[in-house]
Amino acid sequence: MKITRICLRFITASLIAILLLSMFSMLYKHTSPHVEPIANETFYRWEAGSFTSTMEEGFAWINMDENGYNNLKCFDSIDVLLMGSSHMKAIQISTEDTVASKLNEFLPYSTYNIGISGHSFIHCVNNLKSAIEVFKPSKYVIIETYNVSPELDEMNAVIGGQLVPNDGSDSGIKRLIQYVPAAKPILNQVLEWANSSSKNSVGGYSETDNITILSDQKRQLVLYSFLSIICDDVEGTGITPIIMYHPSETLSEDGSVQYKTNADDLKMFAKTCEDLGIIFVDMTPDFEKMYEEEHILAHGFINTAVGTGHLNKYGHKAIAERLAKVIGGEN
Amino acid sequence: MTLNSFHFVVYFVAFVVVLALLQLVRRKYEVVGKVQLILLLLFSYFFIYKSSWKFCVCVFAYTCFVYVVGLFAKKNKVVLTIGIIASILMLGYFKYTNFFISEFGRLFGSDTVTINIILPLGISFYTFSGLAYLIDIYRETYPAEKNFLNVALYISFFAKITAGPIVRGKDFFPQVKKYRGVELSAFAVGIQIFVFGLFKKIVLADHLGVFVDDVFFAPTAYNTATVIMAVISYSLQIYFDFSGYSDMAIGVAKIVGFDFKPNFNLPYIAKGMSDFWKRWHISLSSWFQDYLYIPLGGSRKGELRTYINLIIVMAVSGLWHGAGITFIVWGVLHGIASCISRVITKSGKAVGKGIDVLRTIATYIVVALLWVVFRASDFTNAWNVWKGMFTIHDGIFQPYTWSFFAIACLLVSTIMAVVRAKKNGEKFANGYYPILDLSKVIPLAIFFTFCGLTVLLGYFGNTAFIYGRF
Repeated sequence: MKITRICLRFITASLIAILLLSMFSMLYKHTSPHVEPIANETFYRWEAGSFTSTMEEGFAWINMDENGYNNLKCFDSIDVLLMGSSHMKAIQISTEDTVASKLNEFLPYSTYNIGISGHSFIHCVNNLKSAIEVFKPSKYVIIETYNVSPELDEMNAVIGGQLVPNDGSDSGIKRLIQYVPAAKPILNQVLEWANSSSKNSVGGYSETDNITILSDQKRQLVLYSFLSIICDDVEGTGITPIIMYHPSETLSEDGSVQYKTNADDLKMFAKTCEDLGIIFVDMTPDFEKMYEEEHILAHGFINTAVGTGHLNKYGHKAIAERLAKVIGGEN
Repeated sequence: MTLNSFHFVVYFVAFVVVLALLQLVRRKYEVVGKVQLILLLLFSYFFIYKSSWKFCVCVFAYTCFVYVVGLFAKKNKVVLTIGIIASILMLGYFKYTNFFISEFGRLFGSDTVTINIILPLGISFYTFSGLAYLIDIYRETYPAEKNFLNVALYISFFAKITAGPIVRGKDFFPQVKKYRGVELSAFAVGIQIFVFGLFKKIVLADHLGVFVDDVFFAPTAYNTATVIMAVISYSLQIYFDFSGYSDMAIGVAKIVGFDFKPNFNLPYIAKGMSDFWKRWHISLSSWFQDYLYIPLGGSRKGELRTYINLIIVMAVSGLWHGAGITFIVWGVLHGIASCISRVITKSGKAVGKGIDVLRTIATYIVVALLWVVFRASDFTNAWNVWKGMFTIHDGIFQPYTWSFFAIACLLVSTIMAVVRAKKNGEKFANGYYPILDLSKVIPLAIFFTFCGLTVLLGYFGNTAFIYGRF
């Protein structure tokens, strides 16, 4: 009898705690379950109109559009399609401040964003054809990248049509558990805690970590074949492809900003784009200017390490301004 | 493995379950109490082993040495001297050899050659525990411990080995002899203190560390307000880090049947430097007072000698904190500040609440400014931070939100603790630990929610304890 009473108390207290934590999680860190993409344009999308909150990196409370992507609205016809990773997903900032929204402000075109986490440049190129078929942009496709040194194996996998997509959508228990808002963030934190106990390291983008060292010539050949896929996918559609590169930043001891870019790779990437007729937009000079004139970094938030993590609203604005100039200048 | 690591929590839970199961049969078999103590010793060595087996060897060797010397130390100056010198030599070898080599090298302009020496886990803390044990036996504060296992547990006890508190033998051995085991009431209190400490560490201190590391790495990149905020943040980081560790140590000790005294007593409301050191890392401050300051003459040999003693003690304290010139200078500056504080206190006739508030603010400012030397990589770095604070200039503006959250937490908890302590007529603000009655549903729900929040808000990047390095 006594044990039953203790168990009942324990269960009641647990339920109250889960309720309180779920209320808090809805404000602090919440995403809805991932669902299947429309037709392999990405790995996943969110449920239509679902709510996302972020307070651990930046501050934002946003609702996804009817397609389950981060846009203020859906368009009947799309002029500019924006593809990319979590930088373009941009759940750390208000939807009004994203590159896509800013482009909609700056240009007389409809820009639609399908950025999602983990959908890096390699995957964007791999899924470009499907994305064009689904959204049918009429003028431009912009692909975001934070890396101009793609891994050789991955490029070859895309060329050979053998790239394994990430398992993005949630199903079964993984999906069910997310209907308790506190469950997913706490579970993720516990896993991170367990991992950090094994190794004390902070994640980040490294341009040099996984690069297979090959001769420049061979690398250029593979890169050429890889980027040619973009040209093949847009061929006959009247779409102009744009690749936008935003480098990761790091502060030096003397207060200057360094960009984690391999200069040779950047040069090779830009040259290959030029040869293929792809517009390549390198944000490095814009970020440099922004830091020199305003002491603002394009990445990082007031609740994270300086200059690390995702693009902030200043980074998005700078990118949008530059892209608007590039697109506007062409017309 | 540290007290805030996930692995420790898992192992500790399993260990407590074993102790609790033994507790069930303890009434029938008295010997079970001793088995529990042996298991505690084994778990302590397992805890050390998880860092390196070499550390186990160091701890065991030092334990044997302390045990043997302790048997003959009573009123025996020669034996005591051997014990002290050997302990200091051991500490000096592991901790300071490379420091002295590099400093001599720099002095004589030769190339620095470092020797590959391991720094055993918690060596600064268990050496001081051992020294206290030997000196106390010499002074006949308590007799030498005949049972080797008790001395072994005293030196290696997992809760305190990484970063203290430096528990005295007179507080520890009686608890070993009347070991109570794992009791539900103590468990309920201990787990709350542990989680409270974990919150301080992984939610507050570790988040603050991200910002502090950024600004101290490149202070010239930031504007004045941000540098000032970083200095304030560091003062909070080191407080939450170390007091959080102490809370965790006190909490786990309580769970397995030991009571440790509080190690912090709201240090940032101190009304002078001397008051600060009575509130900060109390077990270390009182160690220096009992075993260094008083033997040097304390304040009994005139004002000038008192000031010299204060500076010596603080300089040694600085050296104890780390093998580096910045730590020694930090200690000396604290010594000078303590002298000035003493002069002001002695000559000051003004009393009243307003003056007390001003003293508290002045003490905090001095302590925070001196933490810059403690945190800085070198003097140039410290100078750049100070310069960044006192010159108006442009730079990155980073109003780091965790700093504001930490300040709010500190203010609210301090006010609550002071009010509660005054109400209860307590010397220590024990109200700082929000001890709830976990036998009731609502307090239990609040506790579960707090546990969840601690995990949810925790930072799991670089989580090493600041004081764990010492």
